[in-house]
Amino acid sequence: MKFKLNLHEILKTVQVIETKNEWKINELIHLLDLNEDQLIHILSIISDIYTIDGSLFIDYELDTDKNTLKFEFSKEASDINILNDAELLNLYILMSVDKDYKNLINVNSNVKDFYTVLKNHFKQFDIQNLDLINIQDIVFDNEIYIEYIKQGSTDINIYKIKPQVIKTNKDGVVLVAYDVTDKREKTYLVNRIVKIYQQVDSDHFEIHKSENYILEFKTSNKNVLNYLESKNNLGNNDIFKFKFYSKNNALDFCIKFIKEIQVLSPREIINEITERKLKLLESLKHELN
Amino acid sequence: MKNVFKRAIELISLFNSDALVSTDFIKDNIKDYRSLSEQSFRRAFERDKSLLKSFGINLIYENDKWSSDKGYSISGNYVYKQLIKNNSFDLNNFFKTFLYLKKIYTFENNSFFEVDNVSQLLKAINEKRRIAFYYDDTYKKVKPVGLRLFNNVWYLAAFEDKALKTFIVKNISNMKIGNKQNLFKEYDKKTKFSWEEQKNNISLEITLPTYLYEISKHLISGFKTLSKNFEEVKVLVDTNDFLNLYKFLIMLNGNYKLENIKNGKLFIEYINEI
Repeated sequence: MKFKLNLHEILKTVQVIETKNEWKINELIHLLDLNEDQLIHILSIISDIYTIDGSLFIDYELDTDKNTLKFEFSKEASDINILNDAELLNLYILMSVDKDYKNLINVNSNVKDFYTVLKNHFKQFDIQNLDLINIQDIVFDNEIYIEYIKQGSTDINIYKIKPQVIKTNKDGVVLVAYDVTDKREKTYLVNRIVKIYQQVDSDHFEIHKSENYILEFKTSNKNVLNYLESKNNLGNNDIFKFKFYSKNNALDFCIKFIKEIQVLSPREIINEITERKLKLLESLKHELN
Repeated sequence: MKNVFKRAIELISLFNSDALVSTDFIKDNIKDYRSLSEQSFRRAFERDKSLLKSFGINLIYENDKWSSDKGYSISGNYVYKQLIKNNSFDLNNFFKTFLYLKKIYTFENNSFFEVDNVSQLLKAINEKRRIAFYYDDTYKKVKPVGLRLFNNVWYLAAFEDKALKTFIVKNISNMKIGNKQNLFKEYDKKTKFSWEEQKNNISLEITLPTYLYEISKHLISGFKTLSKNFEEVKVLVDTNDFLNLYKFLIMLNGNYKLENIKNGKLFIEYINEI
């Protein structure tokens, strides 16, 4: 497991150690999922903090003979808590939609109690529309194969990837993974993954190369601009000129904000959307007649 | 980075009671802030506030016109505080289960289904308190009844006077919670959102490839599956959400067959206006 020191890891360490005064180092590093060096690094940070009355936030003593740590905590350290609502909401959603979590709820009574508490608190949060059927098939640490439909496209491509992390971005829940064939990190929208395989017959795939694509448009809607990263704007505040990862990405953006933007160029995007619109109108009229 | 972490913990430690914490108090009691000019302090404080927010800890400025107190309070632990109130609950066990669950799943802290103001909304909904906020520059006072995640966007359903309205949570700013609890009854029906109102609906049957349906069905609500096999699926859509239906069909790029359309002329008029 990759270790990335962040505030959460530090607060988690504080909250774990303040549950008792003396810890065996092995027990603590197991519980925190750290190695000894990482634990000592975190302890060196938190033992250097003072409370407003001048006492140490946390003080500790290392007993090298017994391989134990003895702690003294301030009142402030005892109040530290990482069980914040945002974290709990994330877990509640995952436990509600993911098959593996649902199984855990059934077999582990502590998990069941935990879920019941969350369900009671988040009962007015409706997540029925969320569909993450593929999450349970994603194996981290191993290479897998996915059938994936790129944004803006309706064609299936196969990718050999090594999953790294699941997170959300402006487009939804995404899997960040290393594309083994293309040898670089990419982002895949979970709900556009059609199938996941652990193995396939042939291991030879084309690299799905995409070229940057410049889209020129007008808009007065701030939500459109919030969606895009301003560093990619090559135009001005009257006519926006944004660089997209691919033509499909640009097309997906144009459809997403079809009412909010006026596309100026390239012509092929304008034509593509017009063609799709006409095709739809034709189908509707044909069925109505 | 070490100093940033230290400062963030020092900042959290200032909020160990329910009293509001003034900006001067924060500046005087955090060593790194003390030597800074007013402007530099503001910048550093805002950066640290953002860091805390990214880990689910919100410092909120309270400026109640009916109270003489002004200052920051800490928000983000509504559920945890409720659990502490319930003395019989085994918090240690709850925490251990939390750590266990976090170990078996890989997601970045708080980045998954982020809801702005989640703690305040949770408190207001569960305790039936009124909230006030700015929404697209308009001041609103509403009774919140529920939240819904739809197509990666969180929506709030709330009564404004007697009308049930829908608000995009991300567009809500400067939210304040009312002091009084139990101002309204629990909304016992499944919260109806504005797009579910049955007026001027279009109804149509769509046949499309199953894989395309699976990747795009979240774009619109109101699907009813009529038949489904490995190759294709036939669904009935009954909605007044013309815009998302239009986007859904445009994205399919002709890979569909439409049948049994009701109110189709209205939909055609709508498309022609875009």
